[in-house]
Amino acid sequence: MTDSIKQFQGNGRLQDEMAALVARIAKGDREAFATLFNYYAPRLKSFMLRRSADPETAEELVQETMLAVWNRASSFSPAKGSVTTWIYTIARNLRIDRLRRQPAQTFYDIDDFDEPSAEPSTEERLIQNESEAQIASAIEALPKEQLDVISLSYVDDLSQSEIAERLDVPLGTVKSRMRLAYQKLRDALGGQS
Amino acid sequence: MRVHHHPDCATLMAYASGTLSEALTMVVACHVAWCPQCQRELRCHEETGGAIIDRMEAVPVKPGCLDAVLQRIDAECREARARDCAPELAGEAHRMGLPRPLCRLLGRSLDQLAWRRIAPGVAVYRINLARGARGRLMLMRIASGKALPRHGHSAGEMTMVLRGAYRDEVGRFAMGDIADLGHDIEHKPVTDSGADCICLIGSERPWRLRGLLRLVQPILRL
Repeated sequence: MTDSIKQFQGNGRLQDEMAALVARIAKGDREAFATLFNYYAPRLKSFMLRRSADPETAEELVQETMLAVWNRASSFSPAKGSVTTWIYTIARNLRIDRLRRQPAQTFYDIDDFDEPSAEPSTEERLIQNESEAQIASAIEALPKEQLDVISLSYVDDLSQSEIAERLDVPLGTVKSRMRLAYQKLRDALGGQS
Repeated sequence: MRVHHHPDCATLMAYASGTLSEALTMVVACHVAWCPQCQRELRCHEETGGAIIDRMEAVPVKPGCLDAVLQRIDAECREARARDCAPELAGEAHRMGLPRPLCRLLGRSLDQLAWRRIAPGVAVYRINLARGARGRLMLMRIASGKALPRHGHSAGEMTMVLRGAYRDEVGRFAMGDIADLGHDIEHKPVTDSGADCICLIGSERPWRLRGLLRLVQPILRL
């Protein structure tokens, strides 16, 4: 299973497979959950570790995230984005609640602004798949200084002023690099809005 | 509702990556709740986050990790955890004329708050964030036709209009609009006549007031 997942990575079909797994999880399928878990848990752990969580906390956050995936599987809609993006937002929010606000605050939650939407048409799914692959290759194609800024922000969890400090450049430079990077990623998505 | 002023794209990206301070996060979340355009933009930024998860090198989890999660699933009644309260909250927020994240935080309408009057025609309400949260968050209610003193912003500050409207050097800001001000901008907002203007203001640091007002700033607790 892992091999077949690897094979599909980056071409959009991986996310189709993942979406199918989430649909099964919504019906209580534990085998599907285990498959999804085996793919995402090690990546989430790596993500949490990079974001300066200690191994113990990283492991707990992986558990929390995957538990939330199980509990909210029925609210996942492929129209709103890929499984990876969905899991990313859950992990990000849980981590913020956990590490910054000691008591879990619930206001900052994807469900706060996720309005239910209709199931996507085949065409929408195709566009979605394509954009997955395109955004991945657009990230690879970013100039190093832009990739650094993106990665310090998304992976290392640094604020814009912390990034400026780390790279020893003015805050305005960090912002403009982010904007440039974003423009490229946006273009890769075909300017769809 | 037509929203004309949006957060800077770098701000939205910081929000998506989870690196914005809590106070600013709250203001952006409220704007996003009311702005379909930013909902779509945000989705793009979050796809970047998703793509990054896919790029992460896998670090093995502890052998019992999956079993531990499955046990927790067993322990919790799934139906009980289903978030059936969400649609209810949506209706509640709509009825109160609030963005959903703010509705959750306040739990009551803007008219039911204990406003603290700080100057003629100006009242504020401090919203408590969790202990240790960065920045501060408050509501400000300004009577119609009133001008606020000219002030600058020492660090990131964002203002979102919840009710009424105001005008400054940048333009007119009405319901749903967000002013994402750089630290180099000074402004002197004047509320539109007609109705009170209520804004949600998130800031990383207190305001920089000019002139004599600086002296009374601690008293006003601005």
